[in-house]
Amino acid sequence: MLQKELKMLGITLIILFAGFQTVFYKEPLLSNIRIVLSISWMLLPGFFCMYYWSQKLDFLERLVAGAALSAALIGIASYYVGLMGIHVKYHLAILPAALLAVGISVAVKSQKRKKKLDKTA
Amino acid sequence: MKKAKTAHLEAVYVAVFLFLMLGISYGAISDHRFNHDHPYGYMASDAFQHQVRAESIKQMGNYRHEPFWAAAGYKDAVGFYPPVLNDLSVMLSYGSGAETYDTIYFLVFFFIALGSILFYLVVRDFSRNLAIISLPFAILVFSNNAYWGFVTGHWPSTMAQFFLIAVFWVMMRFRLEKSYLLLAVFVSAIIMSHASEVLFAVMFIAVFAGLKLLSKKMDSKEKKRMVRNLAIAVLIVLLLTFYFAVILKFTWLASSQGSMLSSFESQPADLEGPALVLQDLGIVAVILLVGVAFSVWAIWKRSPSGLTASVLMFLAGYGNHIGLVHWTGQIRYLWPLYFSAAAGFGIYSILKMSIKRWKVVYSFGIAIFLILWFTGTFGIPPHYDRIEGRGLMDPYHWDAFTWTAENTPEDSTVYFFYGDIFSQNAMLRNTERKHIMYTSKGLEEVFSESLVPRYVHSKLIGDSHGVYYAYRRSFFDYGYYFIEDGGRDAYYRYYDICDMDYLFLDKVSQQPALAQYNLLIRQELLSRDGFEEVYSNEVVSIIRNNNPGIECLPEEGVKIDQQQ
Repeated sequence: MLQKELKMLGITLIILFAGFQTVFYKEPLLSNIRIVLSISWMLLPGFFCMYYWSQKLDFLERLVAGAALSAALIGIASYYVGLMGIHVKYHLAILPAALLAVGISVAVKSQKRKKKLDKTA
Repeated sequence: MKKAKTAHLEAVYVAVFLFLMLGISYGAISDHRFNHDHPYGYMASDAFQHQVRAESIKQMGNYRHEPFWAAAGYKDAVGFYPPVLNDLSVMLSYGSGAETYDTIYFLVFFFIALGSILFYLVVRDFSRNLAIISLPFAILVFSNNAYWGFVTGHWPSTMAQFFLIAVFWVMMRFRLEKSYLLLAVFVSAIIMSHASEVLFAVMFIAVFAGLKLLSKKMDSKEKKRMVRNLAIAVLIVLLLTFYFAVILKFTWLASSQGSMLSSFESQPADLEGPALVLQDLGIVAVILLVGVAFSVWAIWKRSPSGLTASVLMFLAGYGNHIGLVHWTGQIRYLWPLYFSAAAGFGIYSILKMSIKRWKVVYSFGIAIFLILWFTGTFGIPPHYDRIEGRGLMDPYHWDAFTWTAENTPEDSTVYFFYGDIFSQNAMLRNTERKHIMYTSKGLEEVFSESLVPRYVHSKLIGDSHGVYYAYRRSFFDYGYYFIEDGGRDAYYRYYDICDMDYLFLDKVSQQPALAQYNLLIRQELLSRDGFEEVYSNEVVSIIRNNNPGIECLPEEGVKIDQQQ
């Protein structure tokens, strides 16, 4: 299921790019690619955290709610991490990566739990 | 198979709508470009306030303090404004290569568009058909007075309302294991985006949970779990927001802003600025009121659902009648998004009386019709109002501001003579220097006397924002420079032009007499020793005073002939 969802994420990225290219059609292609990748990097890690609820929530719901979760956690964390002395220029690299690591761990564990449940069923 | 087909259709619908919302709003405002060479489409001072703050976080690396150039020169005024939107815009700036003035403006509209999809999911929990029909009403946030809020700088509130919608969504999912984690994060994000919206989150949670707890459909075990989860969520919120909440307590709540909480008088909805009112909605108002009636009945009969959020937020829009005009003004910017479900339910309920076997294709058909209506295809109000144009800022002033920031000593003081756009004075903070400008009293005095003035009634500008340039003595102990240094009279007084390091003059104006006056001032200053023009473009002249603090003009100023 995770592989299927990664494929759907890939399609989502393509749709995002197509949408951005349509809205910002005066923007150079490479610039739009960079913008979409940046936004995705910031907002997609939450999707993986939402995998914990994959049995109850469909892809669309986890994608959108995951984006909200990412925005919330990364926005809040950036403030505190900045106060701790880490310059904001590093936050884009560190914070989504940290959230993604948590999210992937959640996704993998959820996948294993699901397989275990399927086996016992 | 049918389910998969519907899901695919839905995904396409949602994706197209997301980019429709973005395209008609920020796409139009930005001239369909992401990158600009100056703040583009900014229509009021508040917009620059947030842009400057975001840019300052990028430069300082954190938001421990307000930038001194936005705090009347104070270098340790505590960073008091809820930071989430600013921090996200800075990160996007680094990632995309765009300036913060572009990323912050983009994110406002991106999260409105995404918020409409999130609210769609809130409503879908009740009925997919209703969600499909009601989504197009969200387009009306870009109509009338609602739209004005976004281009004039009500940005942090918009960010907070996005998380408010996330709270609605998670409350619909309260049965999810550990959903209290999501609830806590979203409520915390509201507090750290624009704290006042937490009032509506608490209101909704209280009403929704209250209705559920009173309902016979939940057993006592489930009710206990709900209460327990809410308590855990509260603890997590306290943990995540404690540090910033202390700042809020000693800044916003301690200041004039806090007094807004104590008055319960009825006030007009547009007291603090343009506000969407029911009359603006035309026939949609009728649809809405019918829908609200049906929704109340459905909530009562069936149990709380996405309709609860819709009805509550519609009613919350009338909070100005109990003294909450500051809050309801912000809510009304997204009012159409909130009441979309109620309005859609009116249409759906009435049509379902005639059409017993409803098909999802009917919902899509109605949605397409509403999209065409609300985007203005038929020319029947209400519909989207296109806003486009450069806004207040122009390349000449922007270049002059950035030149000042990059080429003057950090401790310089810049004095602004008259400029058409300077009344929106938050933009002046882009000089990144302590700055002072004419008051209208000062301008009136010197202009009427045809003086190149020595002493001018002026104001030392900064974003006291009613928090009095608060600074931290210790974790729970704050001082307030605005009060300690003498209050308003210390900032609004007569200043000596000879003390200024740089003098900023506009060479052109919509009022030719004032432009001429500026040019005469410039001419007089440049004729004197110690002044030299260090920057000039078609619109702006910047003069440096090489001897600040030394007498440069007679006490009484210099009379000039304005007939020259």
